[in-house]
Amino acid sequence: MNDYGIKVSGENNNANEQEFEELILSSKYPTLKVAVDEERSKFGTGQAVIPNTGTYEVLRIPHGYDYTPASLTLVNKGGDAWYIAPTIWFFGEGAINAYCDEDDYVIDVRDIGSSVQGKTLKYRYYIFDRNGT
Amino acid sequence: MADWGIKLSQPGEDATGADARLVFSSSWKLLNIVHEESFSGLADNTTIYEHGYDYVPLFLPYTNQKFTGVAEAGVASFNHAFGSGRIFCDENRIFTDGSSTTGRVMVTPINLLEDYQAPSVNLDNISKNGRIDHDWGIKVALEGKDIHSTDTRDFAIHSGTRSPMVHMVKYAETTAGYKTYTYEHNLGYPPMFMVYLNIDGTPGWQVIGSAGDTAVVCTDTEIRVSHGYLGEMSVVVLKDPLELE
Repeated sequence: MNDYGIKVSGENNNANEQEFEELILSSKYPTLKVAVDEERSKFGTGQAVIPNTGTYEVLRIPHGYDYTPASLTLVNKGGDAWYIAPTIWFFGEGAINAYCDEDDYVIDVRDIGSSVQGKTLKYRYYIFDRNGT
Repeated sequence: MADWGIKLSQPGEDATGADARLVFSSSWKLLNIVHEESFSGLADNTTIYEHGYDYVPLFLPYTNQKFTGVAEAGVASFNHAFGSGRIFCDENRIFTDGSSTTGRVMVTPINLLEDYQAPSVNLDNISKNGRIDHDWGIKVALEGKDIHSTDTRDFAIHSGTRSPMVHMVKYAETTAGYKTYTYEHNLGYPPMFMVYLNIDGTPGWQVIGSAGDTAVVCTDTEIRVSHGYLGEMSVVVLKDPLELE
């Protein structure tokens, strides 16, 4: 590393004696981040009623990056339990996934069956400022 | 927090105020990304990255699988749990299990085998979209990057972003026979979380989700993991620095 930059250690640790990996923060490594700028916000919540059979695209929004970012999504299929996507709705019916492609952030449900139709899917998503591909 | 350290407030906020108004505090443990590696079309049991730690680090795997058997170039899907092409990790390396695996992995220096509990940080009522005052703030550029860059990837921290913090890491040995393991987080909202499992007889640690014979859920107060595997498990919960309405 150059002889300039920033090193922040945790409590009771000497920043000059710790490895970079042990520091809370340094200018050597990026942290996982989510933009909160109004023009670039990369997080949100919502819900959708699953209407039909086959595949239903719950959400598709431009992520605005010139690369394919990594993301993380929680989904709720009813009750108080939230699942990390990808997950399934019921065994054999309704595979839920969330991902980014080159242009968009996408949540969709595939293999929709009768026990999934009419159900409400809630979601919480975070698009990170790191490459996912 | 101790009476020393560093605090960076959000734009327009007082750094001596509530933690919820900060961009950064040295009391917080962040996810430092110490390595990122893309890979394409790798065969089974191919090393993606030798991390060099003597522990199993927290890793975030992404693949190009949209659904079972549906891979698509340019797609980044977190730990696709359906089908082959999973990413494993042990004390030495990150590697593939399954053929023709394409994706990317991020590595952090968080030890999955060591319990951690963050100090209390009140994060209620925090960052909303559009609260950024562009006239001021703080940016810490990475080595070799331009402080004037408009790409937030070029910064360790940036006041136009929020960084998830590690709330807890819980390691446990698991026994054979289907059961539910419960871990309280008491954050008051469903947080970002990951569950890693090292099943006896499998190549190493993998992220698991809710599919097949495993179930992984969170609520406002706890994480519940159900499976019947003998082995080891690590549950990681991240504090959410963002207000989601």
